[in-house]
Amino acid sequence: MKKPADIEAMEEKIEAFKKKEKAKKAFVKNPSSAGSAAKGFQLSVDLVSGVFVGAAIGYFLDVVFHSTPWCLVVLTVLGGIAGILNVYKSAKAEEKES
Amino acid sequence: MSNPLEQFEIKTLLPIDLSHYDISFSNSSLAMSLTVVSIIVVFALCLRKATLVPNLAQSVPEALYEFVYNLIKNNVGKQGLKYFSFIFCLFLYIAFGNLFGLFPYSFTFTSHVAAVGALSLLALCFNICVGVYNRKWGYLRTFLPKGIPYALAPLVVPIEMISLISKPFSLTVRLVANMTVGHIMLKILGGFVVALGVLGIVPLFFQALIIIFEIFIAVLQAFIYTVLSCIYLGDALRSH
Repeated sequence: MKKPADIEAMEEKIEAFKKKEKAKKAFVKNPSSAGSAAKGFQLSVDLVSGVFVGAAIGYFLDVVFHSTPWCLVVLTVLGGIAGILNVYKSAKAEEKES
Repeated sequence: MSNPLEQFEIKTLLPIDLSHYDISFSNSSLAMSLTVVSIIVVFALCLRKATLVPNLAQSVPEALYEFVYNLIKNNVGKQGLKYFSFIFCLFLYIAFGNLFGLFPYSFTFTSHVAAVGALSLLALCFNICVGVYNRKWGYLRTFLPKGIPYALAPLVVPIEMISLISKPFSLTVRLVANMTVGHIMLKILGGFVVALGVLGIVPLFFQALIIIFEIFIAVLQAFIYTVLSCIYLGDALRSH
């Protein structure tokens, strides 16, 4: 038996809507298919930025307190440690996510 | 026109001098304004005929909304949803700014340390304010996590402080480096297309591929920026 035209049209509409919903859900569910290269780049920037910021603060303190080069030396080392800490933290967060 | 860095030059369009401070309206400001306008226009057009069951145009903003909503819920927690509007704006602004820069003759303001750095510093200040507002003095625990003996405080406190300050720096460098490198690469390849004449079809092919890749990078970097902002906001809201 042939279905009436309006029911057929309605079924088509429902199918199209279902497809759209499915695509939307897939996008929302898995938006973080971020490339591994991006993640690696992120960690390397984390590592380096600590050193840079530490050195910058050290240099600034040296200028303020006229204590060249002690603050620069100490804060660069501390910045390096902070960078490693940053990498450790983001790696741990990554691990928790997966 | 052969200099690949020429595209990042800031040109003054409307000189404004406010008591010796140069606050001129530049092509960067124009790009930022157009980005904001385009966000508003896209959202207004898509949501013009909003229905309970979303049509195709309406489902785009709704998908973005749900996407950022889930991002905050997963990374910050339920208490972070109060700050949804801030994170959502951050995401849209960077994503649209990156995409806007890919149009010919436009300007990529996200490739400038001044623009993105100011945004990152704003986000850092926002995070500190949120942390202090929610946890009062408890926020200082950020600098000395629980379980660390007080004898180590002189070492741990400066390290944690540098770690906090280096976050906006790394956010900025990541976005700026990605945008700058992509645009320089496009420009150099474009130069090859012109210089090689008929053989230029080969670099043109690569150029087409790289443009697609750049669109992906533009959205991906906005996403990474947003995720990291969420994680930092989550750190500010709870102790370690």
